[in-house]
Amino acid sequence: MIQDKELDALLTTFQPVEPTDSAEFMSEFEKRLNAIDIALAYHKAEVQKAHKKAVWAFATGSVAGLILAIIALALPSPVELLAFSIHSRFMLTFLEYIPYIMMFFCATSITFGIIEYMNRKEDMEGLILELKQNS
Amino acid sequence: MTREQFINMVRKEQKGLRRFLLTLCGGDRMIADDIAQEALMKAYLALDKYDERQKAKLWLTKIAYNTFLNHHSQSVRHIFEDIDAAAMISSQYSSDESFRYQELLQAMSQLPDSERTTLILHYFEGYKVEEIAQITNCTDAAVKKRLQRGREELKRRIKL
Repeated sequence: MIQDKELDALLTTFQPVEPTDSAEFMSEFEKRLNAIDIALAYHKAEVQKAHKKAVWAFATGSVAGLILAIIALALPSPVELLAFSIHSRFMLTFLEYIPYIMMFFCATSITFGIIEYMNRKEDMEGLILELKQNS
Repeated sequence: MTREQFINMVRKEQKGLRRFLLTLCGGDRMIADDIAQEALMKAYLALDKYDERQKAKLWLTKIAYNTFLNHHSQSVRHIFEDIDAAAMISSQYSSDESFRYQELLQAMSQLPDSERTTLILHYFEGYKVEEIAQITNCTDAAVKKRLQRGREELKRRIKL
């Protein structure tokens, strides 16, 4: 066991050695920083793309829904046309609401169709850019 | 703070930061530098939270310490297992002095993390009690207690 004074002397006089390879460390640091910047830029671009897609999906969904709603409302009621001898309450309800159900499926299909088209367009643009860069 | 300002800040503070981590990691330069790089990346990603009135060195040391703790919980304890690792940190001294310091470092490496970090920050890096409290996220009283406990433990372990 050592005394307080000796320990104080040891602790206060000791200075850990300074690293000497600062240039190497800084070069590695800047490499990693560049990689992070690239990842951040990519992430930002992806967020912007997703935002754009969401706006498009909302707009097309609204327009398609509106158009289909007008068409559905303008059609004669299928209950009158089809429910000749149906007594099932479920079937009658189903027939009553079939224009709206169809409208929902059509609007969803159109929206997803447009999103898929946009995705493919982006992929194609990426591919063309890659081919141009390679050539 | 811009990217360039951050790089300049790192250029200025990296030596102290690496020296602190090297002592904390028991002389393992590779792990210490890895933790330093990881901490600097975390600092870069958290630049918007940096208060310019705060000391850059203190802020970076706090991030480095937290990164060390994360790293430490996932891996084995860093101790000066051999005399060479301790010698690496005390290499600028004469062989006689170096031997005494190696014993000090080995004794320190056997202390609990909290006490070891407090002693390193206070004696080797020159931080005040309140600054250590900020870095290690505890009260001033806790820091004083850790210093006292650490010193007692060192006195018991070092046999010169």
